[in-house]
Amino acid sequence: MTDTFKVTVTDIQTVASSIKEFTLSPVEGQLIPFSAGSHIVVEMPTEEKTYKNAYSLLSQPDDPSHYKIAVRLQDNSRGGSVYMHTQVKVGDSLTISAPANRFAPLWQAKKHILIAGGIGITPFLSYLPEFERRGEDYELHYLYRGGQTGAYCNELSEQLGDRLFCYDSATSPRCNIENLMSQRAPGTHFYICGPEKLIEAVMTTAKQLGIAAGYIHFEEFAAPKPGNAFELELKSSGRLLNVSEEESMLEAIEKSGIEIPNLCRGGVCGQCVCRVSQGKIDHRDTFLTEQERSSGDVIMPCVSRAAGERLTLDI
Amino acid sequence: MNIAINKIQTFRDDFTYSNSPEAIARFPFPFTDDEYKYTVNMEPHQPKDGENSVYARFFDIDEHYLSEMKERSLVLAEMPKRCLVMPHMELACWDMIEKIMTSLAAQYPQHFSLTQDGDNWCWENKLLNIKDSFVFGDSSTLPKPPMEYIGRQIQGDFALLDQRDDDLFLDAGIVTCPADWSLMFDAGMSFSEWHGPVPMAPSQNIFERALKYLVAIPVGRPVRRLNWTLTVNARMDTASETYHKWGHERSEVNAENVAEKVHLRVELQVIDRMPRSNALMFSIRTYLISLADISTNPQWAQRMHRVIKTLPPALIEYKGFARYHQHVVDYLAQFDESAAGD
Amino acid sequence: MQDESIKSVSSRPVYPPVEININAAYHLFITEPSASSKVGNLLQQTAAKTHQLIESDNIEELKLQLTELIGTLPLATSVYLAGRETYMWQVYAVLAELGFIKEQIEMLTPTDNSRTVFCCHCYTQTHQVAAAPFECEGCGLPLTVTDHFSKRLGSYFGFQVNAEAKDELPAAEAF
Repeated sequence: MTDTFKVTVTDIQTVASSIKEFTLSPVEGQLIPFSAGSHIVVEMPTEEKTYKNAYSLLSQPDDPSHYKIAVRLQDNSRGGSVYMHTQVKVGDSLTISAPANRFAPLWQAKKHILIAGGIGITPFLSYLPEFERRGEDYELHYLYRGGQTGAYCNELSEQLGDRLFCYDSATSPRCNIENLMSQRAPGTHFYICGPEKLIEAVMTTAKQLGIAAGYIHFEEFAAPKPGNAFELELKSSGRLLNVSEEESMLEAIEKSGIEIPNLCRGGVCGQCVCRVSQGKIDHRDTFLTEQERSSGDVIMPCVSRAAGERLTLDI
Repeated sequence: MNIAINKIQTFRDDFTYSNSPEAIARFPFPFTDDEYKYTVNMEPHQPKDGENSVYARFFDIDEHYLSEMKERSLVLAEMPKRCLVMPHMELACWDMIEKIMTSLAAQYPQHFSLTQDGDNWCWENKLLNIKDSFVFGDSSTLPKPPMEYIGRQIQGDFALLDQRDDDLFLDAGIVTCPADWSLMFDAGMSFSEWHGPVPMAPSQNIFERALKYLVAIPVGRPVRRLNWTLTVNARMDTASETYHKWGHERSEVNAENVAEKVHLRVELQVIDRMPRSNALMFSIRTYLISLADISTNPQWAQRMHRVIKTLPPALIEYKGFARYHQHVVDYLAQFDESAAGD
Repeated sequence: MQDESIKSVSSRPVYPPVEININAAYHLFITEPSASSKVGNLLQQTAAKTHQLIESDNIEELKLQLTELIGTLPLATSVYLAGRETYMWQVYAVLAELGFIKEQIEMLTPTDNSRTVFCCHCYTQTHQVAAAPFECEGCGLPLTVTDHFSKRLGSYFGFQVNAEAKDELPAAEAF
C-alpha cells in the first residue's frame, strides 16, 4: 500500500473539448515535491466500485502548494474518466497516492525528443521546467486532433517557440515519424507518451532506421485490459469472488474489503504479487521472470487473469 | 529521549571508544535465529521497540555523535575523495539535505533547528555549533558542496543511487566508515556490478528480485535491513583505502584479547525514495560493540555463538575474519550451555 | 578483503563474439594501432561508404577527433572496439560522454591478458600488469588483483596482498 493523501479540488478548467484540468490542493500542510515525469493514483469511489486511475502530474515539480492533472474523457472508459468529468466539482475532496515515477528523463542524453499524442502531453509538461532549469536541448512534437485533444497549444507555443512542433490531424499534414527520427546525432533520445499506435509507429521506425532500442522511452501505462469473467477463490477464508470482464482481479479483491500492497496497478512494480494454489494463469505483467511464469504459482493480480474459469489464490 | 552526547572518543590509534550501558541496551543486535541463514530481511522503516531504540527516529543520533563527526573529518582531511558526487546527482543531494534537516529538526529539536521561508533556509546544529543561512537548491550558498556539508553533520555513510533503465547506479556518496569497500572504485557501478564481490551469490535470482523491489520503492515508504560483520578494534574506517594500515590487526587477535579487541559491527541500512530527483538514498549507520559488552547480555552471547559457529566458510572468508574465527567461537562458547566440549 | 579465490564476479566484463550489426546505418571501428587487423573481417562485411576505421592509442586526441566527428554520424551508428581491455574501456568512456549508449558499442576479445589495476590505497592505476601480486607504481605495495572491475576506471581492483601478515607474500602468478 502506498501512502494516501486527502486533497481538495480547487479549480477545474476545460483545456480542450474532451480534456479537463483539475487543480488539487492539500487539505492541510503541503504536498510532496516530485520528479519530472511522475504520476499519482486518484481514487474515485462510486457505488459499485472504487476506480483507481493513474494520472501524470503536470504542475511545477518543485511547487508543493498544489498538483495539476488533466483527464481526457475516454470513449471506452472503464468509468474513471467519466467520474472525473461528470461527478467531480470544485470543493470536492479526493484521495490520491504519493507521486511515483516510471518515466523520468535520462540526464545522460545529449538531446531529448518528446513525442506526445493527445492527452499524452501531460508527463512532458513536468519535464519542461526541469529541462529549462538544467539547460537541456530538446524538441516537443505534439500530435492531436484539433479542438478535441490539443490542450495547452498556445501556452506551449509561447513558452517553447521553435522547439514546439504541432501536428493537428484536422488541419495540418500528419507527422512523418521517419523524418522526425532520421538525421539525428548519437545521444538523441526519444520519449513517447500517447496511444499504443503511436508508440508502435516509433518503435517500428526506430527498428527500420537501425536505432538502438535504448534510445526509445515510453511510459507503460498498461491499463488492465478486460478479459473473460472468472471465479476467484481465496484459500484462507474460502471466499468466492466473481471477477467480471471489465474489472481486474485486484479490483475485485479490494471490493471485497481485502487490501493488497500495490503501487503501479499496471503489472510493472511487483508490489501486489500473490501466490496461486490452483488454476491456470493468463500472465499479462512485465514483472515476473520467465521461470516464475512457467512455475504457475505466482500472479500479478493488477493485470493478469485466470486462463480458465476459476483460480485459487493463497491469500 | 534526551541523549547524553559523549565527549570525543577515538576510533583509531588509542581507540578510546566505549559504549555506555544505555548504548549496549539499545544496540541493534542482528541475529534472529540460532544458526546462520541468508536473508534479505527487509522491513518497513517504521519506529519500533520503544522510545529509546535505534529505530525510534528516521535517523539515529546517539552518544557517539561528536566522536563520529570528528572521525569523519579526519578521514576527509586525509582523503577528500571519500566524498564523491557525479554532476547529475546535484538535485538528489538537495533531496538528501531536505530529508536530513527536516527529520533532525523535527525529531531532535533540542539539538537541531530549521527555519524555512520559501527557499531561504536557516539551519542550526547546536551540537557542532553550526548556523548557516542558504538558498535551498543553490549549492553556491553553502560553505561546502551539499553532500559533504550535510554528511559532516550526520552519523553513518550515505550513498545516492540514480535510477535509470530499471537499474540503480552508485553515482554519489560520502563513505568514511565502510565495511571494506571503496566508493572511489565502485562509483558509477550498476546494482549487480557493485555487488560483484559478494560470494556464493545466493542465486542470481535474489539479486534480480531485490533490484526490482528497490526500483519500485515509493516516496514515503522507506525500508531497512541490518547487515553485520566483525571488526578488530573499534575502528570505524575499515575502508579498502586504509586496509594496508589495519589489515595486520586481524592477525593480532588471541584468546586473551578477543573479548576486548573483536567488535560486532552492525549496519542499519535504510533505503528511501527521494521525491525531487527520484534517486534512492541509501544510508548505512554503523554500530560497534565489543564481544565483552555483548556478553553482558547472556542471550545475545549464546545466540551469537551459534550463528558464528555455523557460518559457511566462504562467508567467513568474505567477511574477513577467517584468521580469528576460532577465537571468537571459543570465547563465546562459555555463554552457550549446549556447547560444552567445543 | 575480496579474496582472489572468488570465482565469478558479476562486475567482470565478458566479451562474446562480435558480429556486424546489419541494422546499423554506419559502422565505426576504433582500435589500437596494433589491433586494427582484428577488425579486418568485420570491416570487409560493411560497405566502404558506411564505415570508417580510426587507429589511435592517444585517448586525448581520440576524444577531440570523435567530438568533431559525432555531428556527422547517424544515430544508428554501431561502434566496434579492439585492443587491450583497458584501452577499450577508456574509449567506451569517451563515447558514453559523447552520448553513445551501451547497445551501440561492441568490444572484441581483448588482445592480451594484461590488466590495468586500480590500487585502492593510493588510487594509482598500473597498466599492463601481467601477473599478481605485483608492485603498485604509485605506493610500491605488493598488490593482489581481484576480478572486481570498474568500467568507469577501466581497471581491476587491487589491494595489498600481505597487509594481514607481512611474511605471507605468495609467488606471482600470470593471469
